[in-house]
Amino acid sequence: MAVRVLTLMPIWEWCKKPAIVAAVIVAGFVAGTFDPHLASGSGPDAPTCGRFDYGRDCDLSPTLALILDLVVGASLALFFYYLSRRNQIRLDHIIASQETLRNRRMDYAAQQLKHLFQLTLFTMSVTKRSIAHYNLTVGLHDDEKPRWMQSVTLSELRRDEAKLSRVLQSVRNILTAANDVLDPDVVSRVEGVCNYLGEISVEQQADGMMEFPKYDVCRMKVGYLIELLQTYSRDTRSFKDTVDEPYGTSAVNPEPDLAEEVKR
Amino acid sequence: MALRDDNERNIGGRDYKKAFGQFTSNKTQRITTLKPVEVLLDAQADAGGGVHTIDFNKGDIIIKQSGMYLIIAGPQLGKVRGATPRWIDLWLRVNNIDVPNSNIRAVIIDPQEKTVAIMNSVLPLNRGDTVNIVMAAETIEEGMGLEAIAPDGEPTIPSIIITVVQLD
Repeated sequence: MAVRVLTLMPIWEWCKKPAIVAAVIVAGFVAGTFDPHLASGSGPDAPTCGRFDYGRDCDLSPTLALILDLVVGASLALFFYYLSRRNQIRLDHIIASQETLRNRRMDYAAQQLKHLFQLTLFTMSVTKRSIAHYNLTVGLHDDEKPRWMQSVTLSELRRDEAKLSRVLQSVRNILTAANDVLDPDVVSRVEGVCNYLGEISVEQQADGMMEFPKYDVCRMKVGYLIELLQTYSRDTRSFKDTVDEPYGTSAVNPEPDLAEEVKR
Repeated sequence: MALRDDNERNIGGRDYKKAFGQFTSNKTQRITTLKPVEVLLDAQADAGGGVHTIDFNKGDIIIKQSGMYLIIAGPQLGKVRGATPRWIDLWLRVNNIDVPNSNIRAVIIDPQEKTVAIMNSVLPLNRGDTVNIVMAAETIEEGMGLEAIAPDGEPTIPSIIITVVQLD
């Protein structure tokens, strides 16, 4: 038969056990409740003193002391419960208001991002139209005042570009303000589109024509993002990623007949 | 009962296929500026009756499904003149931002040398993201760049072949 060797545990090891700590507290409470009264109640009282009498000739009986302690304990318990309950209600209220605020921020961010990207799409279209107007003036005769028309269209173009950059800045501001409530995937997608659009600017070709580089790709990217932002639900507070179905041919027109410059 | 292929899942009651795409360029692309230049593409391999799960437009590869992607590119490098060893770098760019640690370098010594440098990368990409291959060379004097070659009696050697596969 195996013999178990009992070793003394250090006091601090005992202190780590919650059951031991609870037992010590209960023992202290019981001892503190009964012992003084047993000791004080052991003195000679008047023979007429009853169990619940208390006066000049009658000490507090242990039973009455216990009852008083219980009443005091119960009152304290009720008082602490009231304080705890009040704090809990306050905490619940704070948590609920924070949650409401968070939801409102998320609703606002989703809504605002959708509007801003729709505005981006619109501004890109306007820019494209301005480019088309500008290109119409290239090659005009001097008597048709092409310089004046070009300068007017150019100023419109610059205005549209500035508007686009302001819209993108607003998008970035919303991302900064709401990145703690938005889904990281959504933040990353929005940032990706912002990075892409931020690098795009209207370019003038060698023949004097203006061009919006990668316009189709920009439209597609913004379209995808708007598609995602439109799936936002206030019930679930989430976005639903969509996938084209069935898979069709490309919406972007690849270059159909690039001249083959082949080395033989 | 036939097991569903691992490449297909059923999301929301519809078939979900992992995206893939293979892109090539049959055009020789020489570097004419010292700034980074985007590699252009002009063909996409058709698979499954013209199904394209990834788009492209000139040099932009456009992702249509969010996920983790493996990208492998094999550019055919060469130069026109000069016998000095010259470097040419190629790297990835996502949403107009250069991808860290994706750069590769090849050194071309003379015009007879033809090299295929392999570039590969695994990236998390979102729907709507655009991927570009970007190149830059040490000099613009020697006609460095990607070369498409049409040997007699063989298929054309594209100037670049890019394979994009969705991993998850």
